[in-house]
Amino acid sequence: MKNRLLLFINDRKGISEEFTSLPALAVVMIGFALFFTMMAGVYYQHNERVKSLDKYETANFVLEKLTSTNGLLAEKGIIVGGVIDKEKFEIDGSKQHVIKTMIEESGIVGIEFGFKLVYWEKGEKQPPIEWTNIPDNVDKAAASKQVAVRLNDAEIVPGVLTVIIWEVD
Amino acid sequence: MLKFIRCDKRGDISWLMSQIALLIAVGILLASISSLAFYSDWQKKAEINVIATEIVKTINAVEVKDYPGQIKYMLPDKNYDYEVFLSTDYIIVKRYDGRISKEIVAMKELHTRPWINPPMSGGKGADGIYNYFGSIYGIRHNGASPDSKLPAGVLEGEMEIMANELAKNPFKVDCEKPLYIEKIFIFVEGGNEKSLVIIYQ
Repeated sequence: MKNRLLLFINDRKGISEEFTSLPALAVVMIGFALFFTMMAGVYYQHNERVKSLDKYETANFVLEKLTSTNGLLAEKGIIVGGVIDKEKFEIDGSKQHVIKTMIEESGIVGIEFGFKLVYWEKGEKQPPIEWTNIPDNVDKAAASKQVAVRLNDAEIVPGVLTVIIWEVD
Repeated sequence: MLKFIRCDKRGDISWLMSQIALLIAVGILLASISSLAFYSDWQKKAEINVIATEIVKTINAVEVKDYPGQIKYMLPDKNYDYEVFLSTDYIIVKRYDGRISKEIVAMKELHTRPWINPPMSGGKGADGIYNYFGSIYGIRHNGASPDSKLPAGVLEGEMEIMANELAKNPFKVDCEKPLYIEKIFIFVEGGNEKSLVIIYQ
């Protein structure tokens, strides 16, 4: 063992020097590569999170604007006195132009939206009523709020109104 | 020279070359890290991005109000100079102290159409707009109340003029003065009242 150490110390040919610096360099390079990979991952995730937060804030803004007392749903008589009229909310597939006109008149630009209403009747959750313009193959964000739903003159039940937004191409 | 390198049995040349290569590699690595950390403008862009986001959020907060009201918004005082421009669809914040490119721009999309720098006379805000319409269409058609409705199509025309002008020349905000963001209602013939957000200084 002592002889081997002396071999390293007394090495005047520089052969053992190469064997120590190269692995050290490799370790340093691997460390840097890992560091950069980690930093890139964190930066990417942070960016995605900010974008996602932006989308949900926009969805919440659209929901608040459209359901305000002077918003689109109130103007169209869908919300009266803070209560959603279920009959007027339902827009079937044959009335796509109605939805298109309403979106144009809403004052919201750069994004499109659709609504989904869930309500409880006699304590049971009913199938959701959804606007028919909501596409399947786009990146969407949604925001919800609790509302009162008027089923008929005698019955007002609790519900949840969701706005779904997506970007226009 | 070549013979000297080939005949070197002591490893001196090998040692020298590997050390030079090592120095070059370390130099490149340090340069890339420092350029990323210190000479990149991403932090500066992030700073003005926050300013743009704050303005958009304030406009949105006024937009969802149920009643008329005004917010006096002071742009943040920073240790760097920046400019704010309002366009029909975007809030643009610029600064000119970038290292790679002098101009750094941050843009935030507006999802509504506020009325930026509207024509006003004899006052500011809603009163100024009612006076402006009153001076053109008469006091009984200034849009201030259900009894004095604005003729149909006038508001749309004004908004279109504003959109065209802002598309060419975005409104430059004086960062020293407050920005007034106000929700107003204008009564229009043949319809309900129109709620609008106006922005002026």
